[in-house]
Amino acid sequence: MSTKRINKELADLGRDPPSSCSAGPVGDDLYHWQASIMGPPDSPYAGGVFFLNIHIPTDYPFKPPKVTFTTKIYHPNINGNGTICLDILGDLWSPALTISKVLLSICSLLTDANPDDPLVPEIAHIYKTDRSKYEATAKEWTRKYAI
Amino acid sequence: MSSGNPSDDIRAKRLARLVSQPAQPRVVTETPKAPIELAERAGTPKKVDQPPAAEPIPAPPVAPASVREPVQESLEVWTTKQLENILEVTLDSENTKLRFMESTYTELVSEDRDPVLNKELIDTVLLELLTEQGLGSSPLKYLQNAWSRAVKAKRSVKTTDPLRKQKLEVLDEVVRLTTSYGVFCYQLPSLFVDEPLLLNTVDSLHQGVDELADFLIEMVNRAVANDSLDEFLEAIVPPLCAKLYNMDLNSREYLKMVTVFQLLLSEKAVAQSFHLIPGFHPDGIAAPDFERLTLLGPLFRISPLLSQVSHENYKGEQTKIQLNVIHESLQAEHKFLIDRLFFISDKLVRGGEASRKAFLGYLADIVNKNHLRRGEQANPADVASNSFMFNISMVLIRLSEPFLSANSLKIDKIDLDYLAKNKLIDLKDETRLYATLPEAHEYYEKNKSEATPNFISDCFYLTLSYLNYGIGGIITYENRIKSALKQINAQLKQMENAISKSANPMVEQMMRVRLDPLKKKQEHMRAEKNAIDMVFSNRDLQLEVFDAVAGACAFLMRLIDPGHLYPKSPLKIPFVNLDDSVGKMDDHEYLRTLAPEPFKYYPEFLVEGIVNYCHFISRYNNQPLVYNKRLDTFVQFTVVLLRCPELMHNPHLKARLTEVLFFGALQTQDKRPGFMMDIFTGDALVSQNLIMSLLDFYVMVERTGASSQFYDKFNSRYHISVILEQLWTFPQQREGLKKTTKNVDFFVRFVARMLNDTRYLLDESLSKLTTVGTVQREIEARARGEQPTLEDTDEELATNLTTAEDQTKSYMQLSNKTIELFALMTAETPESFVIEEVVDRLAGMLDYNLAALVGPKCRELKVKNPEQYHFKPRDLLYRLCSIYINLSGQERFVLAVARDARSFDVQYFKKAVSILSRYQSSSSPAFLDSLIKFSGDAHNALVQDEQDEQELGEIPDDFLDPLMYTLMTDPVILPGSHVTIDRSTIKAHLLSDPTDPFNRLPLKLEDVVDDVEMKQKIFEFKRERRAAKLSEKDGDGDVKMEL
Repeated sequence: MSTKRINKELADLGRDPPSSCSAGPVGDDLYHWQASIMGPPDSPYAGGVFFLNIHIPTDYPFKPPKVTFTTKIYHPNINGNGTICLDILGDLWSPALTISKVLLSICSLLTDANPDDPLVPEIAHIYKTDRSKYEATAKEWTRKYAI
Repeated sequence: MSSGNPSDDIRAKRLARLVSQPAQPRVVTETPKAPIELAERAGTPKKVDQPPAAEPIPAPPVAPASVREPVQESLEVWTTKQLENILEVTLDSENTKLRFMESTYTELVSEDRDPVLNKELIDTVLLELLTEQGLGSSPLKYLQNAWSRAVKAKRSVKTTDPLRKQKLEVLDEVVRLTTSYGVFCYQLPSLFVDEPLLLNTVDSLHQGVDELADFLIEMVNRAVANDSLDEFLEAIVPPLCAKLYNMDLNSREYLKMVTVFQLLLSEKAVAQSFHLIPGFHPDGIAAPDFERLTLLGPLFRISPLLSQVSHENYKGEQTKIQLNVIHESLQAEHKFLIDRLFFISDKLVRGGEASRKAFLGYLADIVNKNHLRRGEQANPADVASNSFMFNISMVLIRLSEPFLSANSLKIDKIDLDYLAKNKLIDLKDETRLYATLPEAHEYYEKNKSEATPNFISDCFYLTLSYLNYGIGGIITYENRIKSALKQINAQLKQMENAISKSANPMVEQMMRVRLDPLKKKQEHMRAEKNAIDMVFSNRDLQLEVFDAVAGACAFLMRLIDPGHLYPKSPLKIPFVNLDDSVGKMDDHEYLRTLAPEPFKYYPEFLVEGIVNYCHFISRYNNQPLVYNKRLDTFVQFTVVLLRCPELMHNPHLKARLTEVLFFGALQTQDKRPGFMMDIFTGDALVSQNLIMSLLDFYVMVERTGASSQFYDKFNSRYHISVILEQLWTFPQQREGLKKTTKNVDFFVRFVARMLNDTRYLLDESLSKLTTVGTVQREIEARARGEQPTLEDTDEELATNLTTAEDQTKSYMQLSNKTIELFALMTAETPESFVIEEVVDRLAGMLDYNLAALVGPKCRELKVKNPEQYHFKPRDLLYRLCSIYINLSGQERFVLAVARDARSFDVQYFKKAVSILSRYQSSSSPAFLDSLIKFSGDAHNALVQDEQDEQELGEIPDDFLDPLMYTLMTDPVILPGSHVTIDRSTIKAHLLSDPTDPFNRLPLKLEDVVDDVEMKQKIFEFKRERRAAKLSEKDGDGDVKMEL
């Protein structure tokens, strides 16, 4: 039933693509997308390109898409499996949101991490206590995995 | 008490009193009995008036014994002989065998009196012996021996003896004086020449308790008669307690010590004034210090749960059999200990009002200060020990037995309005069952009562406090050490692996330094865990606990009952019928107004203690719930709480209750029905309400508010699925379910949740399974020496595999269970599953999973040993197909499957049929035929649908549903955001989220407004397009005709 909705989102993305990210189906599977996000310039991820996997469940848009990073990234809200801790991908999902809006939210998560609701407590701790160390490591990882 | 006075004063006072005391008739135990039996003998000697002082009797002329025939000995001669024999002293300077009492002799002679031992001289000679001459040995021992010789002598005085009365008077005087001096040994040791030998008298009390028992009781009675019991107890009890604190279960000495306490307290006078002994319950004791700094502390502290004791008992590793042997011996000893602690406590309770009050106040203070014991992070050093709290809990449970046991008629003696009178239990910060704290405080401010609650009520509420903070605290602690142990075991394994792999002796050395302390910690924790297991598998004790729990359940149902008549008349639930107003079932503000008074103001721990206990104990093999004749009370209570949402909000407690029901529903290993099944189907209240309760909770558990809510809900739903599946074998229960489905509003919520879960769980399990397969293949390829295709290192791969395996296993089990439940329920009531707001999602979910199982990507699911992950693809396929068939008669479903543009494909059905016909014996030809027929129907519907859509051509955006981008058929306006949307879409959304999707404000379906104008426009649009298409077709035909 969500086919029309997804086609519509795809068409909107093509017509008016966001500046910092792109997304589209992998092969001919309309429900499995790949997306990329440019590291925001005012963040330690600047210069990197991060790839994400998007799986659209059968009850989309009543339930959120499943979005994971495939590029390794050093961030308090993103773990080693690429799982993202973001409210709108969980309890705060609304069917009025779109994949494009989700990607933009992820972009702003890269600029402003949320260390108070961490997925990786160790990184969150460093983020809170030694910001420069956090930034250095994040830059290092960006250079290693995302450039 | 006069402990502060200068000892000389006391000494003078005591001496004066002692000397003025008369001989008094008192029956002394004739035969030594067992201590306990002896201890049962009660009765305080009454002081009698002083008889007129007897004139010294002149010595009779001594008869030449050798000449005369032996006649009856004169009283005087007898007396002298007896006293010499008993006291081992003499006034006869010729007698070298006995101690000569020189001062007395000189005094008598100087006063011109006969130096012959008689009744009046007993005190004088004892005084000389003990305070002037000295014994050179322990005066206490001497007095005890003299006392027992006197007692023995009393027995040999014949009843026919004409001088019996006078003789007994002499002996009784010995008894009186030896015990009086015995008391002085403790109270005034400085009186004695041999004072240094009295330093250990307290030790001798318990070390020699078996021999000393009778004498001790006599001393107590003497102290009572001398009106100095308080001082006597103060002299002996605190040092005894201090000694006991340094003993534990593994030093046998403690047994004797407990005996001393039993002996003492079996004297009513002691029980009455025990609480007056300094140190009984000093002010301001901190939570962990009660067991050290109060008199009863060391006594209640002893048990096999004490950590140092458990370390000794469970040293090293044991086989299961060895473990059981240790368990059993400790269980017997622990039970025996608790018998004795109860004996002591019971005496205190029966020691009069003051004693009872002091004792309960003491127990209340302990539990009030130990709320932290239920805290997950509490430092054990900040709270009372498990050992101490468990013993007290057991004592209280036994004290409650008379009114909580099965046949008790006294349950109505428990105060329903206790909270208005309570002065014992600290409730100020306790979460209430269904009221806020300020509400509760306000209510009790208004309804305060000055009345004093009865003992039964105090005892009951204290028992439940201990069930939660005492026994419940042990459960919290066990959970903690269990997970800590798991971590340590993993760490140890890792380190040992590293050591075995490392060739570098330095690394090994370094590892070992860390390894040993960790192993020690592991051993300690394992020992503590074993000790806890030992206590919770002590069936005798746990039966007692559960009996109290069942009694408490009965009382709480009585409290809930609007007429407070239960158990005299059965409960009728639901009290408030919400079945037709589903929205109110999770409206807490509304439910709060329905909650019964005063129940709603009662602390949640009353229920929490019961729930946690039953939940925890259920995991033990010989747990008390199984085949317990009071189990029905507990199950009824559970169903009442689940069925009536206005009684309690806490979803965690409900989840635990559901899990206990799940344990009771599980089939036994030999395939017999679970131990609660009889009650589920046989008990009227339970069988009529269970299904509704379970379905409701299945929905409610969606949001528990905890950080773990996401996983909690799957667990609870798994439990509920198993119970429902077991109930399925009973036609009467299936009928019950059918009735429930008639309530569409209620049932659709359940269906929607079940659908969400199934979709999510299947997605997760299949995708995790894919990961498992991928990683397995990569590892194999690398082992064959092929180039890696994944970035991860070998170690990372191994970790990824373990993680994915664990996840797959748990997700797969959960999804198997929901799919099973789905198949069962769709067979019974297919029409309930095809309502507008769920049918599309249901079809999409089924199609998607069918495609995953038999479509082009099914190879991705290939793993080694699929059974290990509970993945049985053919069973799963069969279940999916049965759901299709169960619903195939529903037109709406056929259409929904057809319209699912994502995964529907007739080919998949053909493939499924071919697989099932080969591998699934349970799929009959008829089954397979209906599957083929169904897919054909769906395909035809699809063709038709596509045709219809073509006819419409391009649709204006305004007519499209803003979320689904399909042409609306029943447009409505959302009142808050003013968005026009199709009714089916907003209905589907509201099922899992009660807000407007465009502004997140609360929204109810009844508040949406029909968009009549839009509906009309769409209707017009469709008509125009169809008409246009029709004429176009005609035109087409015309052209053809022309050709």
